[in-house]
Amino acid sequence: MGLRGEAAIVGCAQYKPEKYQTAPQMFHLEQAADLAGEALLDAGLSLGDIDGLVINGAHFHEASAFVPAIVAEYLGVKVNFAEVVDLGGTSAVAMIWRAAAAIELGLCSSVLCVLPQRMAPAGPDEDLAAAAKAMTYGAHSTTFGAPEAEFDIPYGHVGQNTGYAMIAQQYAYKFGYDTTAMAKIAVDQRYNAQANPEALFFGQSLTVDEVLASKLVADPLRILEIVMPVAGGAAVIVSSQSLARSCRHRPVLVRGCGERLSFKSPSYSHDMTTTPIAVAAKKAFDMSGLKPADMHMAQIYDCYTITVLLSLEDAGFCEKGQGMHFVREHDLTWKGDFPLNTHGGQLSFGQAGVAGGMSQVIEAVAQIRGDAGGRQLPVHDTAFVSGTGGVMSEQGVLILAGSN
Amino acid sequence: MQIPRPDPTAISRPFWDGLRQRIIQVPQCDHCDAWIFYPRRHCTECGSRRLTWRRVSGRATLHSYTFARVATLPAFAELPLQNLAIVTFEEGFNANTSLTGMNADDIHIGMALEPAFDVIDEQGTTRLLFTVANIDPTR
Ligand SMILES: [Zn+2]
Repeated sequence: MGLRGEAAIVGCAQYKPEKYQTAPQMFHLEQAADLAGEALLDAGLSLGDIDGLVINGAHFHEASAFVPAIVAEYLGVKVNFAEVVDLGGTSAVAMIWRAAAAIELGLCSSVLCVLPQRMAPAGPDEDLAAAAKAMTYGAHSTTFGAPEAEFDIPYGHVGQNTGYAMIAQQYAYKFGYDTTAMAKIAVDQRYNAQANPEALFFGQSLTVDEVLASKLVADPLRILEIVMPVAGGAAVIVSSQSLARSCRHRPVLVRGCGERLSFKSPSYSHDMTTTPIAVAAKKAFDMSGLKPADMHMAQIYDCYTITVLLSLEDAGFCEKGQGMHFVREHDLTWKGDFPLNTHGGQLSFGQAGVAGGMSQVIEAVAQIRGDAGGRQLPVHDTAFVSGTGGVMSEQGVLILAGSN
Repeated sequence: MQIPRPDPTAISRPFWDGLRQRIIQVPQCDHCDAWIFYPRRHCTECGSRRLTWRRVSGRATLHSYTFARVATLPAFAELPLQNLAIVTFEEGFNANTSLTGMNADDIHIGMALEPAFDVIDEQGTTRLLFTVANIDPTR
């Protein structure tokens, strides 16, 4: 059961993360076309090869419904598989396995997965105040009848920081907490970013002391343990194995996948320190026939340091409650014995909205191809990739492996 | 600034009406006894659609908390230190809330709490906050 590993990632494109103030503004449709063009060039395919489309539906600028139809028409493609994914930070991972599954079902042979996340130009009559208000509430719904509007927002439970902070506090209560180990996650990833000219924090090194001296945002999380939202975007093309063989690069096979959505607010979880990735990772590993020890790298979704810690534990890289010990005992840099987020992670690469999760997929592809430049791993055939949406609400896992 | 007001729905109204009278009532499943919070019309444990509103004491323990050093909304920026809390009612269900009338140093996970009814507007809209229990929960 599950994926047979007969679909491969063949093309990637990604905007360099930039601060919103200085990034170009483009319509999402134009970003989709631009990113698709770059990914097709990378793959060595042409527009006519695309017969599947997966796009983010939430916050797509030029449409709130019929998004795949509008995007397909704009691109000039006719597709046998059209899908909207609305899973926050795990959208990227979710897109890749849906594409692979559609290909293995025989529905299509090349699927474009695209996440435009630069800002669009404001229209002449656009209500900027309404847009700003929507930003204030972030991922929380203020609509009448939305449970969050009634039972979260009146108590100030809004945004992501405090939710992740309360998970971290509960973790500390149950298992203890080493702020130095948590800071080391950010520091090791920043080291990796120093070998990645595309990273937002390229050229800015970081020490544990600097993390621990940075501004406390929501106890125990400090600002340097929290991703910086930036403008960007990404596209990935997944193709059938037979088509992949004629593409320009080493095909990266989608060997396993898993997905788990447990709640919107972790407050309603029976155990908020055991995260949905536990189920998703087990499914993905079982499907691939591989195990955590077989992974040559881990590209773990890192909206916060605590996300990385819990993912390491629940995906099976270490025992529950041993995450801090694991982080202390291992060198997490690209030079180290447990290469983690070798592009710098989103903490140092930048988080381009829901495209942020695609940075982890694309880094795994670059490493497996052997195209990772100054941060290339010597052994680079297998990768664990994860995504996390909401407040540990929904998580996904991919097991990727280079074709022989 | 005004704290965002909860707008009761036909489904949740008994909860909010109860708070105005300083009572806490929550739907309970007739079939499996699960407590359903936030209020819904079906049981999230067994799927039954036979639920009955029942009064609970509000005795709870602190499941987790944090201090928002950056206010989560402008309405909370006036507080000296905004806190957010998740509490576990003695019946076993969790709720998002905030703690009131406590010093930051006195807040710790696992502590016993009791309800504090917080009227936020002239219409009498009431939030369910919590504060340190002044009775021994073991009695
Ligand atoms: Zn029931």
